[in-house]
Formats: sequence, structure tokens, C-alpha cells
Amino acid sequence: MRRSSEPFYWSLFSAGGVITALLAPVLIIVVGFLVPGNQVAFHRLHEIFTNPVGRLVVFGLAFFTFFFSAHRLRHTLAEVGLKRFARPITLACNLAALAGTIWAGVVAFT
Amino acid sequence: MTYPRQTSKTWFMTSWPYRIFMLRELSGVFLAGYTILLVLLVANVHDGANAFTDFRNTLRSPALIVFNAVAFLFALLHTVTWFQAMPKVLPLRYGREHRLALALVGVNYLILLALTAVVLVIVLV
Repeated sequence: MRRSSEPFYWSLFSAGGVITALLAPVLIIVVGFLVPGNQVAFHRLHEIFTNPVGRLVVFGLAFFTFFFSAHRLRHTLAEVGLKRFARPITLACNLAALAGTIWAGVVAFT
Repeated sequence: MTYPRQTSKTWFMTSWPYRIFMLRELSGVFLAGYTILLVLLVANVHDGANAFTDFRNTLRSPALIVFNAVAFLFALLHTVTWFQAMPKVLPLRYGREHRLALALVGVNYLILLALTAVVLVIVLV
């Protein structure tokens, strides 16, 4: 029997699910409301985003969130009747997640 | 001879549990969207104070405020449904199962509150 790649993607998905469940609400408040509301100083953000731990956290968040989203999106598309195209949809979603992760890595570590 | 079961393309609009399920499934798109904004923020902060100020003004646009408000609601929906699913994924087969499941969900909310406080302190204080 051919081994399925599903468990590998599911483990990424569940890790992403936990991380986003715990951090997305507060980070949306920060990025979407506190930053535009001028509540966060530039120096503080600069400190956080140039700190090695901060860089790693940004990269890890992006990696897990993008693969989590890709997993949900491809299953959603299958659920609304696109099951016939499951393979190309899976490929497109995971490639998009990979591209987003590489972009986040370049941004976080340079 | 077997026939494939016919499902309509709008099956998820037929009842509230299905609608909530579909909204939960859509949360991924909004979570990816806010993450793109986060990475853009990091990029602009790395580019210096002027780039940061420009991006802060971009974040003030009504479209992005609305997007972030909607994304926040989707994030909460994801958080609540994820926590509820957890006792079903982690099989805890001891005596009073129901209580254990409730405790597990409760611990999740405590971790959520703690991490939220930690992030706010790091960013604001």
C-alpha cells in the first residue's frame, strides 16, 4: 500500500491550529488596531523584530499558519464540490504555503 | 452498479451547524490574511521608522480596519471551535470523562489568557 502523505500534513495542520487558536486573536488586535492606533512605539517593534527569538517566532508563526490555512482551504474547496480537482488544489495550496513561508523567512531573518 | 451520492454545491447552507462549520473552515483564509499583514509589518519595521510610519497609515485605511475586525471574529470562532474539538481528539478515558473534557477546555482558555497577556505586555509595556 502506498503511504499517504496525509499524516504529515495533518500534523502541520494541528500544530498550526493550536498556535493560531492561542495567538491569532491578540496578534490581530496588535497588528490591526494597536499599531494603526499609534499605541505601539517603533523602537519596541524594532527591538522585537530584530531580536533572534522574535525573528524565529515570526517565521514559525508564518510557517504554521500558512500550512494550516492551506490545509483548511483545500478541504473547503473539496467540500463545495471540487473533489475532482483535489490533487491540483492540494498542490496549489501547499505551494502557496511554501512560497509564503519562504517569503516570511527572508523577511524575518534579513 | 453504484451511483455516486449526489450532494448539492450549497449543502452547507441548509442548517446552522453546517453554516458554522463552513465559516470555521473559511477562518483559515482570514488567518493567512492577518499573517501576511504581520510579515509586511516586520518588513517595514526592518526598513526603518519612515517605512513603518507609511505602513501604519496603510493599516489605518477603512478597508484594512474592516478586514481586521472580520479577521478577529473569524480568529475567535477558530479558537472556540478548536478548543471544543480538543477533548475529542485527545482520548482521555478515565472515569468522569465529561469533567475531564471540561477541564481540558478550561486549561486551554487559561493558556489563551496567559499568552494574550504576555504578548500585550511585551508589545505595550
